[in-house]
Amino acid sequence: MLRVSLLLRSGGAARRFSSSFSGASVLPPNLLLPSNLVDPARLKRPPPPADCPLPLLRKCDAAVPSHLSPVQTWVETLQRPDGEPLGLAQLHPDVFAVRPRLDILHDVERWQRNFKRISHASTKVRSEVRGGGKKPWNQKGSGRARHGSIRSPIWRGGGVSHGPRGPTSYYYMLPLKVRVQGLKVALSSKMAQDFLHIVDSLNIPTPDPQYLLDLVRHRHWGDSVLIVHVGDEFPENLLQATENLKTVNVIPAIGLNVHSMLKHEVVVLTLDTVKFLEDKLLWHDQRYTPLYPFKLPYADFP
Amino acid sequence: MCIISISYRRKESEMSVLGGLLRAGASFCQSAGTLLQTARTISTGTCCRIRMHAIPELKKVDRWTEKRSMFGVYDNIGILGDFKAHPKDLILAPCWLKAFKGNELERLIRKKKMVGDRMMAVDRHNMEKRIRFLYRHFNRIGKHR
Repeated sequence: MLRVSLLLRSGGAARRFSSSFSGASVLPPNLLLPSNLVDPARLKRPPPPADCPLPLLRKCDAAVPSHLSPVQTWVETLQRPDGEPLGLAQLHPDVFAVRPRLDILHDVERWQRNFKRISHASTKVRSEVRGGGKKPWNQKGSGRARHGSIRSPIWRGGGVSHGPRGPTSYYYMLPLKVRVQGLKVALSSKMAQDFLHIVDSLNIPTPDPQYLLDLVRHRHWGDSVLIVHVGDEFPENLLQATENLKTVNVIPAIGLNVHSMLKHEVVVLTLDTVKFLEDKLLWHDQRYTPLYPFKLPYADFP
Repeated sequence: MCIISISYRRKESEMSVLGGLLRAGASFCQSAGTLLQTARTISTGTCCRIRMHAIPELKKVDRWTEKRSMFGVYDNIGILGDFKAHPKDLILAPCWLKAFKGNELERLIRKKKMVGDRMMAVDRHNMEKRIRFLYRHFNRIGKHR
């Protein structure tokens, strides 16, 4: 066994010795790369320059504060497989360029995981276990230890003294403005890391899922894509294409949330979705505190 | 600890435990090279019945099932949906636990209020006993009353 181990050690040393002579960029054959490693082949596309000839397809509807400037991004299309942008769009900085508050993201993510959680773990206490009402043997005289019931927690088959009790809920609510800020921070982080893409519409030429995968691979978007669209109607081709795909998912704009944005690497919004999100998220900056819940009718709320 | 076992049936299991441990020890040594010292473990009792391979395989978890990829969707239905619905309406729970958090006594009292007259007799009796015990425990025993 010792001779075998010596041979193994010498073989490894010889391999390492020879690799130092060859070129610097030779990768070892048994290299395992993690799947979330940033692809160096992915070209960082630069933000649109000031003198870009493409038309400005969208301006901010809400007033932009004077000390901030709107965020400019490319508007792309899913119709053609190549990655040429159609135009530019301006996004509101108070939604897409807020400070990257990681603590708010953490709080919102933890809230999303826990507020729905119901733990059904349950154990029986000594009074609930079947049996155990009678004293097993006399207090004195038998020579055995004294016991009062056969279901006490020190007995095998007895009750659990401090176990989980019945269905438990972990519900709590974060303040409304914290949840709104969490959405804004998530969108801003995706924009800042170049993982947010604006698309004019979601029409695809074919219902083939391979078309979407090739498009994502060609444009170096990433592993997983979250497509968000306003309204109930989705194009049939898109629904058919994404039906059997695991990592490309389509959700309506009402379903947007921080957990899904963090789980999927790339977020794709349409121009209508951007308008809807800005409208909904900016309202909370300048609203009065509610005197009664918002679900009851207000005069000036929609 | 040496356990003197009286029954003779256990001799074969003891031998197999010894043999298994030696084999596991030997294979572990070969795979890890000469970094680990060979240690012969000897079991004199019947305590070491757990047999394990040296490095267990990681269980394969699919991170992109329907449930995992769609988790959290509609959690902001209030903010983005004009406050017609609240995320607490999404919770799948027994009716006395929807949008409620409390300690055990509070949960049991709420259950008794909401569902008590529908419960089975034995379950209700056990629940009432537990409420009585917890009330006395929290309000009469210990430092915090």
